[in-house]
Parts: sequence; structure tokens; C-alpha cells
Amino acid sequence: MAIGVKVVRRPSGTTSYLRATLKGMALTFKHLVDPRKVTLQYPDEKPELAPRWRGTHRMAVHADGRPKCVACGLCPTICPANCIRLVPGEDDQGNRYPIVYEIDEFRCIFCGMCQEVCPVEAIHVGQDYENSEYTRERFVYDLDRLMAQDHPLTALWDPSDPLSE
Amino acid sequence: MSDLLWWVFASLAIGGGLGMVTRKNPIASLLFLVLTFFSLAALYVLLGAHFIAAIQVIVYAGAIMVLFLFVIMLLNLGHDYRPDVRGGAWIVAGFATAGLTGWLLTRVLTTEGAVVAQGGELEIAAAVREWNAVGAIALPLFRDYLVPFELTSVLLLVAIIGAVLLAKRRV
Amino acid sequence: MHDVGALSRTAFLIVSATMVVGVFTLIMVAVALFTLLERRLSAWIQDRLGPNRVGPQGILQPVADGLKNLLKEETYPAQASRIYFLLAPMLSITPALITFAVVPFAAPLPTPWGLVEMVIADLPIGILYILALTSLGVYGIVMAGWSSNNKYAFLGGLRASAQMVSYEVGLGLSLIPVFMLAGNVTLTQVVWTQQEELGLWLALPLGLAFFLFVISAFAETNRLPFDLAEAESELITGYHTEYSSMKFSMFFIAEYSNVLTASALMATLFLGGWDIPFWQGDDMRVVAPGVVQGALPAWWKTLLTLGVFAGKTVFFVFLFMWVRWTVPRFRYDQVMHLGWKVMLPTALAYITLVGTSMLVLDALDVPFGLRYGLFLTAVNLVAAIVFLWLLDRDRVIGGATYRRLPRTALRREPPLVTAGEGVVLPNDGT
Repeated sequence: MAIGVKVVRRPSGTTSYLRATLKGMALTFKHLVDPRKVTLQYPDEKPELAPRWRGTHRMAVHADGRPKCVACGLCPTICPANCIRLVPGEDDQGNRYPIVYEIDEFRCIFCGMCQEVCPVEAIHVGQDYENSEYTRERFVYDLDRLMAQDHPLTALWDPSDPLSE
Repeated sequence: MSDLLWWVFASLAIGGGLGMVTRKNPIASLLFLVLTFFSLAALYVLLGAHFIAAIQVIVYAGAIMVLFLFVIMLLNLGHDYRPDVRGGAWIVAGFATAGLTGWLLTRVLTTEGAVVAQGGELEIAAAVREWNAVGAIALPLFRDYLVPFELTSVLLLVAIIGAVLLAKRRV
Repeated sequence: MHDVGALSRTAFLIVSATMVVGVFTLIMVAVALFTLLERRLSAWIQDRLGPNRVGPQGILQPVADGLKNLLKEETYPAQASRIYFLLAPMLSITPALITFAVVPFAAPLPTPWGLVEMVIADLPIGILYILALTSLGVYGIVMAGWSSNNKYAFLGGLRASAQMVSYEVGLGLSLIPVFMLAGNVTLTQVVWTQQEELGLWLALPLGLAFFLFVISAFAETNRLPFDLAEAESELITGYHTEYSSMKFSMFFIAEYSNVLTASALMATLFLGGWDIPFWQGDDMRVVAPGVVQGALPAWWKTLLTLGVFAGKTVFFVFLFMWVRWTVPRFRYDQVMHLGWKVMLPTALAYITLVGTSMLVLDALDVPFGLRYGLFLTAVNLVAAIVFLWLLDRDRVIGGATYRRLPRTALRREPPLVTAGEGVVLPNDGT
């Protein structure tokens, strides 16, 4: 038997059930009238996210509208959930760019390693969680969609300030 | 209106009794018996004997039948549909029951019974007006019939002690 | 005595029909609101907010719930006995709804057609009618448990039947002192006793009976310290595990209208019913059709007393919910122990005590009035102290470990429970 059972020793003649009940009722009444409640009125109030909270991805964009991604292939390699599909291409000047860049947000475990590994700070995880859709297919974000996201980015862990103080 | 209700509840009582005897499933037959008891209570109300009606429901339909139900469920008799009475015993029992019923019916249907029944409703109403519903029962019970009442309770006490003795292996 | 005029036969029929419909509607609306109140109270007690989205402060939530239940799929468990399965919720809801008929809920109302008593049917057997119907209510539960062909439901029904029989006794016996004082079982008479004859709410001179009645009422309505028949953590939801949609709703309505009736009864029997305290203007009773004894009836008095009655009832409903979200469930053997070994002897002893005190008071020629009541209050106070002192030990509900120990060991220093007595010690990794 692996479960430890705590046996409470109750001395006979001193255990009071009535007093315990009344004490419990006083406690619940105190909580009943206490105006401080923990419920978050969700659609009206939003929870305050921690700076390193990780959500839906964003692709950073150059000023001329091209993605910053250089199709180095590090993010699909490091991705533990194998949710990034990248088909690299090269233009006339020899600049690499992604032809196809897709992230399956259903398979993603939001570990944020793609953001950490990216050499040009192109792919980011962001602070967004309101991303429901009607079909499974819509959860595969393509490049245009990733570039169109505009929610705040997740801060990276800073080794010089490990507790984010 | 009263007559109509009387017919309704009388037929319900008889139907419940028949259902109780004919059902093979003990719980179904018990529920039919409850129906009979409840209809009897309704008949008492029509007679103006509210207190008896209430006690009928509280004691028989409410307490005793619930205990029976509890015992039937606890012992899981739900799947044992074999008849208890074997051999020719049911013929004897049938004749005895028919004889008793016939005797009771003759008592009720002859003039003697009818006369008693006719004054009853008014007498009950008068007693209830004077002593109110409980007093009309309590006064005769605790004044005129005190000894039989106490003897009955002693009898019940004996039955309880007997039951405890039978149920307990070691006293 | 004031002769206000009796209703004619036709007027009586019309008034009765109106009152039945009115009270029925009121109960249904109240029950709907109680489900909301229960959810919000439980939320507040647990530092949450509860349903507050549908309508202002969630007031329309019961409507949404009702619609949802109406539109849900009706399911029948395989191999359930269809007739009994259908009959069970009906058998459960009918007694729950018609018990309220004998409770007087306001002072008599004078109308141009005659005096209207604010009670649907002032039966001569009053409270016995309620006892009878509550004892029938258990059939719905037991039948639901049995016909579902489900072991959890079956166990729920089994527990309900045993519990109902046990606490019916406590409930009935705790009421006997009330009837000894009132001299009758009709609820109007009980109210009149508290208003005028004794001038005291019976919760004072019969406090212990009140306490026992509250406990029994909790058990009879299957509310939380005694909700063994439902017991979510052990039996899923007990007897209504297999029920869905409106049939489930009917069990729910039955439970809450039972709570409502029990609360109304507590208010009527022990807190003066519709009596307004410290005011003689509402002390009246109908002695014959159209004839009132005591104060003069008026429509505003009826309204006022109705409000007071509603307030007292809602207070007890609140108590029901408050206790539900505070106290954990009893174990089955504890329920039986409390019912038969504590409630029953206490109630019997208390009946004897009240009867003796009344005999002594009558022998001393104390007139039935305030002094009589105050003396009984003193007696009751002593009895309550003795009883609560006894209750305040673990003789009432003992822990499971001690049950097996001999009585002598229990009295003295309880021995340390060690391994080998069926107790598992914490795992030390070996």
C-alpha cells in the first residue's frame, strides 16, 4: 500500500461537533459577505499575462513588407512538436526566403524554442490566446497569416536577470 | 362529486389489490399495495375521517411499505420469481379467503351493516367538531379502550424483543 | 369578534381556484429563483461570483436552464422498466408541490365578497397531512433508483428509503410538543397560539424541539449533511444518475419545493408563521366562516404579513443553503446512529419533559399565557444546555476507528492506533 493515511487521534469527551459546525458556518458566512472575489469576468476583464507568457506565433516583417525569415531551417529542426513546415527558396541576389512557412498551432506546444533559436529574430511566440476557429484546417497558420498577427511579443528569458525582476 | 370520487378510489383500491396479488416482481406488487393503501386513505377522507386517513398514509404507505421496500431491495429478491405457496396449499388458502370475504360482504350488505354505515359519517363529523380531528380518536382510545390499547403495545413490544432475539446471534 | 361576512359558495370556489393557481405559480417561480440563489450563494461562499450573465445579476439564469432542459434529449437506460422510470419523477414532484396547501401564509383578507382565508385548505389534520405526503415522496426516489437498472441509482434509492423511515420518526416526535401546547394539529391554530394565547414564538419555549425539527427536516429533504441518496462523490448523483432533460428537472423542482415547504413549516410552527412580532394589530384568527377573532383584518395587514412570512421562509431557505455549503456529508452509519440513537431518545425525553412541565404549570394554576411560556422557556433552556452538553461530546457521531474498541477503553485514555489494526502507516519507501 503506497497511500499514507493520516489517523487523527480524537480524545474522547472533548471532541465537539456542534462547536465545529458553528465555527465552520461562521467561516463560510465570512466568505459569503466578503466582497473580494477571485472570479475574473473574462470577456469584460482580461487576465494580466506574465511578460514571458507564450501564445500564438508572429512573424516579424521588414519595412517593405517582406518577412524577416531567411529560411535557415533552425526552427523546424529544434521544434520538439515538429509543427513547423518550411520550404526554403533563393532569389536572384542569393537571398534565402521561405516559399512555404506553416505552423500547425494545434501541434505546437508553445515551448518558444523557435523564437530562441531564430538568428534574425523573425519568428516569435506572442501574447495571444483568443484564437479559436471553426475547423481544424484553420489552425495551420501560413506565412501571410503569421505576418498579419499584431499581438504583443513574448519577452525572452534574460540570463542576466533570471527571475525577471 | 363524492360518489364519483368514491367509485374512482374504490376501483383503484381493488385494482391495486389485484395487481399486488398478480405481479410476479415483488417490488411491482409492493407498489400496487401502496396504491391500495393510498386509495383506502382517500376513502377514509370521503368518510370524513381525516385523521385515520393521515395515519393510514403515514404509517402504512409511508413507513411500513418503505421498510418492506428496503428489505426487498436489500435482500435482492428482485430476481426470484418462484411462487412461495407450493402444492395444494393455495387451494386451501383460496377457499379460506373466499369464505372470509363472502362472510364480510354479507355483513356489509345486510341491513345491520348498512345501518352502521349510514350514521357513521355524521357521527364522525360531530365528534371532530367537538374534539377536533385528533381528539375524536384519542379520547376513546385513551379513556374507554385504554386496557386493550396498552395490551396491544405490550404485544408489539414482545414482537420487537422476539425479532431482536431472532436476529442477534449472541444475546 | 368582527363579522366580515362569509364567501358565497361560488365565490369560495373561484377564490380557491385562484389561490391554487397563484400559489402554484409562486412556488414554481420561487423554486426557479432558489436554484439561482443556491448557485450564487455557493459561489459567494467559495469566493466566486456565480452565474451573473443572463439578465441583470443572472436573474434569468433559471429560464435559460429550463429551456436547456426542455430541449435536451430524453434518454432511457437500456433494460430500465420504462413505466416505473417515467412514473418516478412524477411521484416525486406531486407530493412536493401539494404539501404547501395547508400552510397559512398571510392574515385573512377582507374582500367585497367576504372574508378570504390565506390558506388553500385549512384541513382539520393540518400537519399530519404534510407528514403523510412527505412520507410518500420517498417512493419517487426509490422507484427512480430501482427502475434505472443502475447500481449507483439503486444504492441511492436504498439509502433514501432507510433514511426517510428513520427521520420520519424524529420529525413526527419533535412536533408533538408543539401540538401539546397548541392543543390542535391545524396550522392556523398553531399560529394563533403563538400570536395570542401564548404570545411567544414556539422557538423559545420549545427550542430543543425546533432544533430536532430542523435536523429532521434537513434529512427529510435530502439536503446536504444528509444527501446520502445523491452523494455525488460516491454514487455519481444517486437515484437520478440515469435521468436527463425534463425528467431530471422534475427531481430538481421536487427537491427545492420540498426545501421551500420545510422552510415554510419551520417558520409557521416555530417562528410564529405570518405573525409580526411585537405588534398586536395582526393577531387575528377565523373562528367561523367570515367571523374574525382579535384584530380587524385589512388588506394592508394581509400584504404586510405575507411579506413577513416570505421573509421568514426565505431565511430558512438561506439556512438550508448555508449549511449545505458548510457541512460535509455524514457517513451512512452515522446517519442511522444519529437518527435512532440520538434523535429518537432525545425527542421522547423532551416530550416527557414538556408534558411534565405543563402538568406542573396547570397544577400551579398558571394561566396559559406569557408567564406560562416564559416558564417553559426556562425549562427548555436547562434541557437544551444538558442536551447540548451531551451532544458536545463525540458520543453523537464517533469516528470509525473507535467503533471497534471496547467501551471501557473509550472512556479512559484512548489507545494509540498502531499498525496492525487495519491502519496503514505512511509509506517510508521500503
